This record gives sequence, structure tokens and C-alpha cells, in this order.
Amino acid sequence: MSTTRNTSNGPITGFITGLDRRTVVFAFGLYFVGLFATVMPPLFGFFNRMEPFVFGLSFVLFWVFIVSVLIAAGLAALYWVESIRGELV
Amino acid sequence: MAISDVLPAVLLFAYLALLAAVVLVYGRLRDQTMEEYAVAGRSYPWWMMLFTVLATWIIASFYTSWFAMAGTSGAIAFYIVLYTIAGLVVYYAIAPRIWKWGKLHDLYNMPDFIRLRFDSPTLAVLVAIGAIVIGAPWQVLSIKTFGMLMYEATNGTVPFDVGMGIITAVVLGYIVFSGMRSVVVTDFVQGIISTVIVFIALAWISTNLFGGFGPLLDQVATQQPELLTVQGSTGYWASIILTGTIGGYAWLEIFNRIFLAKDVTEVKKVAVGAPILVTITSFMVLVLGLGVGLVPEAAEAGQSAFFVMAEAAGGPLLLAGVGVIVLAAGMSSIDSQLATLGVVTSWNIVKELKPDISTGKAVNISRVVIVAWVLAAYYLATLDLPLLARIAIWTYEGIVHLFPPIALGLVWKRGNATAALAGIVVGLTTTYGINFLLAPSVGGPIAELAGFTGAIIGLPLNVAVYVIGAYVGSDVEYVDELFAEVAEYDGESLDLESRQEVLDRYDPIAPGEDD
Repeated sequence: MSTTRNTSNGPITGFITGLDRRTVVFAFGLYFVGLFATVMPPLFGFFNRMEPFVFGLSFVLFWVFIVSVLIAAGLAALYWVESIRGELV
Repeated sequence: MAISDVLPAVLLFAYLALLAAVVLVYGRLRDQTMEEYAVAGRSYPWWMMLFTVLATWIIASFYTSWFAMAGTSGAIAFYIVLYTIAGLVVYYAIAPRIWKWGKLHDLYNMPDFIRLRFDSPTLAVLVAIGAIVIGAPWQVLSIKTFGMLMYEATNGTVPFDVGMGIITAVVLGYIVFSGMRSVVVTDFVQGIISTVIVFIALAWISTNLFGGFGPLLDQVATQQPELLTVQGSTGYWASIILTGTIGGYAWLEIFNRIFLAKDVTEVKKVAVGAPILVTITSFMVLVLGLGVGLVPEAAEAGQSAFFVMAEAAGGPLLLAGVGVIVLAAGMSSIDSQLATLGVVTSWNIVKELKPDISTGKAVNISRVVIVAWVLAAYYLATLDLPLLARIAIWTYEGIVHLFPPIALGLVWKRGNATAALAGIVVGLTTTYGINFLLAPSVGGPIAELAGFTGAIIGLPLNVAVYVIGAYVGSDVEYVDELFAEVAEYDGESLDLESRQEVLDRYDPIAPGEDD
């Protein structure tokens, strides 16, 4: 099974396929590491607080949830980008 | 004996019968090869993979020990959510290349991978033994949890030791019968139960006991506000997340999941579907756990709190439902562990030392090993082992040391068996030396390291020794071709020039003369 590059000509698709592989890896790497850094010391000290409450959750629990959701979204986005670029295999 | 005592037991046994039926219909071995027994023929689509990965990852203790931890220690218990999701990023990064080498060179598990990458049967055997030993406490913990689960879920109708024995026998039965294929099909059922059906139980319990999650959180904020932030040292928080993230995919049974997929795309799709599901499931379970202290009977019940809350909210029916959820989580983890342990022992240790035995004999040895270890683990589980859960958490401090050779071996051509072994030895010695000398309790934070654990020193040392050894020593002879294969392989043909060059120089574990 081979995965061919998406050849449709939309502007987003064109932008994504035009990127260098290293740029894609760097961008997503920065995204994931950046999110992870917010739950590690020293940055975590800022987020580890009670207020403000968000949807009833203390701020730190809300932040843990949001970081997890954003990481999940990032993985989905990375898969989508790689499928457009034909880099799934 | 009241119906309320019997109903949960009846439902649990009905669930076990359902699993047996699933195995008989969908989980039979298709042929008697190690490829079939160890990795189910590398045949599974992403949605089966997703649930076997999640089912293997989420253990029964999540609903007992970690649920209780949320009620007593609060927000720190949510580290599990973070390391699970971060671990899936690690999975996305490493799994595709591992799968490709697995497909190109018939790899079944992590010692196979180490053997190929570093061209070292010795290192592979040592890693196999080390990984088995480090993982052993988790099997004993799982079996113990089975006993507690059956006792609590049936209101004592099924005694602790009997419950342990029944569930263990069921798991043993289908693993020995059908190896990894039975594991995957049962994990599919059990994964759905422990990640999707669980929402019904969570909604039911939270609504009946607290009026919903919102009121639950309001009550915790009023009565136990200290639970809503991470107390104490954030160094310990960071340590347990980092070791979980880094070490997660070095466990034998988790690493083995990668090889079950039918192609690379399916491997990657798992990382798309799994994260949001596991995030929501695990987060909501732990939020409910925050409410343990609000229910006096649950607060007194310790690790049985989830069961107590279920019965209080929904009587014997919900208690049975929660029993099935916890049972599913436990069985789906231990079956993967045991199946992989059996294959690693027979294929990577016994067959490495005695190459002439046939594959059929290796499969049978695997079955014998699994039975023997389960009997030993069952005996250990009958003993009073108060530190077992802490020891199990501490094993993450050890398993992380297999990650540097895996990760660096995947992305960097430099590196050799001596560097890998030296790094592991130095890292393990440093980590556990620090932990034994300085940790105030098993698995606890170390004040001298700002709350971090020994691995914060040991792991960087491991990497440093590996890097030094990589520059000082020589590279693996065929490493250029090994990396070229990954680039050349398009998911279709195995007929690659680079692969042939590796095969000309690498001597794999091969079928015996009688195959």
C-alpha cells in the first residue's frame, strides 16, 4: 500500500505540501514540547493554582485537561499534514 | 444469601463466559507459526489496535489505587492523564520506524529490535531478562487486584483467593489456547468497556451521589480544597510524568503492540484516535475520585472506594457493572503482559541459546513458561505485600533506562551494543542507588533532589554514556543499510536492495531445522 501526496490545489494544501520536512517536524516538535513545558517546573508553578475556576475545575486541573486535549489535537493535525504530504508511510 | 450478593457474581461470571465465546469464535490461531502466536500475523486495523493499546495501558489498579489516590492526594493523581497523552506523542514518533523494521526483519518484540539494531544477541538476552524482571511486580499486582475485585464486586460472595484463581485461570486459558490473537480480540471488547462503557458508570455515580460533576467539584472546593492543586514538590510531579512518558513504550507488552498493525498507516491512526478517548476517560474517572472523601464509606474503603461508591449510587447492578469495568481493565493488561512474556522467554532467551529447536516447540515452551510464572505470581499474590503498589511504581525508574538505546538507536546511526549496555548499567545503578539511599519511602520524592527521583540523574547519565560509547566504539556493520531500508520501504514490497544487504550480514533468530 502506498500513500500518494494529495495533489489538489487548495491554498492550504499547497502551503502544506510546499513546506520542507524539517520545518514540519520542527513546528510540531515545538508545539508538543511547548505544551509539555507548561506542566513541568518551573512553568508549572504558574499554572498550579486554584483560581480562576473554569467549568468548576480548579485552574491547574483545567490546564491539565486543556494541555491533554491540545496534544491530542496536535497528533490529529500531524496525521492530517502527513497524509496531505504523502508521508504516512 | 440475598439476591444482591448473588447478582454481581452472576453478571461477572456471565462476562467471563462472553469473553470465552469471543475467543472461541474470533480468537483462534490461524496457523502454528511464531508470527501468528507472537504478533497475530501483523493483521490488525487501527481500530482494533487502538483498543488493544488502550486496554493494555489502562490497568485495573487505575480504578483502585489511583482512584483512591485522587481522593487522598488530589490533583497529583492526574499525572497519569499527562503521561498517557505524552506517551502517545512518543508512540507516534517511534512506532512507524519500529514497525517497518519489524515487518522487514520479522521482529516480534523489543529484544528482537535491540538484537537487530545493535547486532547483539547477548544484549538482546540481557534486555529480555531485565524487562521481564522489572515487569514482574505488575503481574502480581494485577492478580491481587482480581481477588479484591471479585470479593468487593460480589459483596464477599466470592472469596479473595478464589476470585484471583478464577480470573487468572480464564486469562491463562485463552492465552495458552491462542496467543496474541486471543489477546487482541478480547482487548477489543475489554478496551471498549474500560474506555467507553465506563462513562455510563461515571455519570450514574456522580449524579446519584453528588448531583453531577459540577456539584461534586463545588463540594470538594468547599470541603477539601487542598485536593484541587498539586501539593508538595513539583519535582516529584515532574519525575513521575517524565518516567511514565519516557518509559511507557519500553514495556515489553506495550512495545509489542506496535507489531500487531497491518501497516504503518494503521500504526499512526492509533495515535489519532486514542488520545482524546483516553484523556476524557481517565480525567473523568479521577475527577470522580476527588469525591471519595465526601462519601464516608468510600473514604474508609481505601482501594475499594470505586466499588463502594458504585454500590451506594446504583446498588448491586451498578456494582456488578463497575466490577466488569475493572475486570476488563485488569484482564486486558495482564493478558498482553503474559503473552509477551511467554514469547520473549521462549523466542529471545531459550531459542537464542538453543537455535535448533523448532518454532512449534518454541510456542509450546512459551505456553509452559506462562503457566509456570502465573502459578508463581498467584502464590505471591496470596501473600501480604504492603509495598507492592509502590514497588510497581518504582519499576518505572528502571524501565526508562531501556528507552535511550531504543530512541537513539532509531534516529542516530552511531551506537553499538557496548554503549547501550554501559548506559543501561550506569543509569540503573545510579538511579536505584540514589533512590535506595535518599528516598524516604519506596517510590517517594527525594528532598535533596527538589522532589525529583533518582532517574532525573540516572537517565541523563545513561544517555551520556551511550553517546560517549557511540563515539569511542564502532558502529554496527550494516547500520547504513538499516536506515536506508526505512526510507526505501513504501509499504508494499519487501524486495529492497538495502534489506538484502542487511540480511547478508545479520544473523537472525531463525526457524529450527524441523520447521
